[in-house]
Amino acid sequence: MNDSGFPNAETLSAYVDGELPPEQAARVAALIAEDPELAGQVSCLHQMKAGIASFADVALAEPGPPPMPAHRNRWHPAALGAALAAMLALAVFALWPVQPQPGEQALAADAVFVDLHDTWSARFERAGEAPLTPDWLDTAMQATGLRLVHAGPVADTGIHYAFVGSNNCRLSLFEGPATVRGTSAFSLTNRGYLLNANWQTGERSYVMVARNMDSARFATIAAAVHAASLTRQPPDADLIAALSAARQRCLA
Amino acid sequence: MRASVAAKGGRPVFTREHHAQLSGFRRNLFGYACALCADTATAEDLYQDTLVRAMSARAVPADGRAFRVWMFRILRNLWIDRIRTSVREEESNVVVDFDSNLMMNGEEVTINRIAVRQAFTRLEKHHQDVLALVDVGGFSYEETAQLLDLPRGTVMSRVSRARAALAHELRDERIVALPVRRGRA
Repeated sequence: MNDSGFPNAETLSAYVDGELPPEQAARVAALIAEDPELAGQVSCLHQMKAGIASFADVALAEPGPPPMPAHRNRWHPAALGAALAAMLALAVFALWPVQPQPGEQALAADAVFVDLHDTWSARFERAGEAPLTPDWLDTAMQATGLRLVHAGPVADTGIHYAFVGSNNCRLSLFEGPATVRGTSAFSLTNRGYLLNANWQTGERSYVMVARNMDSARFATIAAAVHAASLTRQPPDADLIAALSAARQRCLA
Repeated sequence: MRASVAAKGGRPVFTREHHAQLSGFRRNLFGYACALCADTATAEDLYQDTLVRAMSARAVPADGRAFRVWMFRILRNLWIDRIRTSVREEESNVVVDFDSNLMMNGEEVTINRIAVRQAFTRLEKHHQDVLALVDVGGFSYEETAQLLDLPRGTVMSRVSRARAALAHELRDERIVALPVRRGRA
C-alpha cells in the first residue's frame, strides 16, 4: 500500500497471488469493489496470471510424460515468442499432441499432398479471379492475410484450396473424405522448411502444407482452420487476434 | 519420519510413492520447462534430464512438498546450466506506473492467453523464472523464496516487477489488444 492507503502494484500482485495477510486482503477487496479502475487492473493481473499458468495446460494434452528422445516431438518453433504463439489456448487447441509425432509412415502418406502443393506453387504466377472461400474458412483466412487463389478437385472427392499472401507466402489446404489411417488428433510436423498439419473431423480429413512459412504462423493458421473445420463456424475473437498478430513475412 | 529416502547399498532410491507424487504435479513441472525453454523439444529434453537426475539421486525427499520443491529445483538448475548465465535481477529505481501499463486509455482490456505467452517470451530470464514458478509451478512466495534462495520479500517484489514488465510487453504494438468486452469484470 502507498502512503494514501491505495494499493500499489506490488500489493495488487500479491493480492492476486493470495499472498496478502487476511486483514490486508480484505481491505484491498473492499477497495476493488468500490473502484472500477482498480478492479480492471486486478482483472488484467488475473488474466496475465492465467495466461502464464496455461503453459501447464497446453504442454501436456494427454496423460503420460513427454515422449522419450527417440520419439520426441519434432516440432521446433522458430523463436521463443513464435514458439509460444504456436502453443494455442487449450480451449481451441486441446488436441495438441505431445505424443510421438507422426512417423515416417504418416509423413509418407501426406507426401502426395506435398507434391500437389509444390506442383501448384511452381506453376502459380498470378492469381486471376479469385474463387470464393467457403464460409467456414473465410473469416479465419482473412485474418491471416492469405487469399484463396485456387480451389480445385483432388482425385474424385477431395478439394485443394491454395492460398497466397502479400509476401508470397503459399499455403495449401486439402479437404477430403476421412481415411482409415487418419486420426482425429491434430498433428503438426516441421521438417525444416516443410510444414505439415493433418487432422480428421468426423467424415472429413484435412491436410495443410506450406513451405518457408514462419512455423508459429503456420501453427496458428492450422489451429484456426482446425477449429473452424470442427464447428464450421468462424474461430473466436482470441484466435482471430492471434492470426492477425502472427502475420510475418515468409522465409526466403 | 525420515526426511528423505536414502540410497541403500549405493543404489539410488526413487520410490513408487515418489512416482505417484510426481504424477500429481507432472503437468506443472513440464509446463515450467516449457515456460523457460525456447521450444517444446528443448523443454522435453530438460524435463527428461530432470527425471533422470532425480531418479539417479542418492537421497530423495520423502515429504510431498519438499519433493515437489526438490524436483523443480533440479529442473531449474539444469536450465541454468544450459543457458550458462546467472539469473540476475536488474534492479531498477523506476517506479512502475501500473495504470499506464495495464489500462489502455482507461478502458478495460481483455488479454488473450496467446498474447500473454508471446509477451512472456520477451521477458528477462529472471522474470520468466519467478513468474513460471508462481504461476505455472503454483508455488507460494515462501516456497519460491526457498527455491531461489531469496527472502520472501524479494520474491514478492520480483513477481510484481515481472508482471509490470509483462504488461509493458503486452502493450507492444506487435501484440493485438482485443476490443473491450462489456460486462466483464
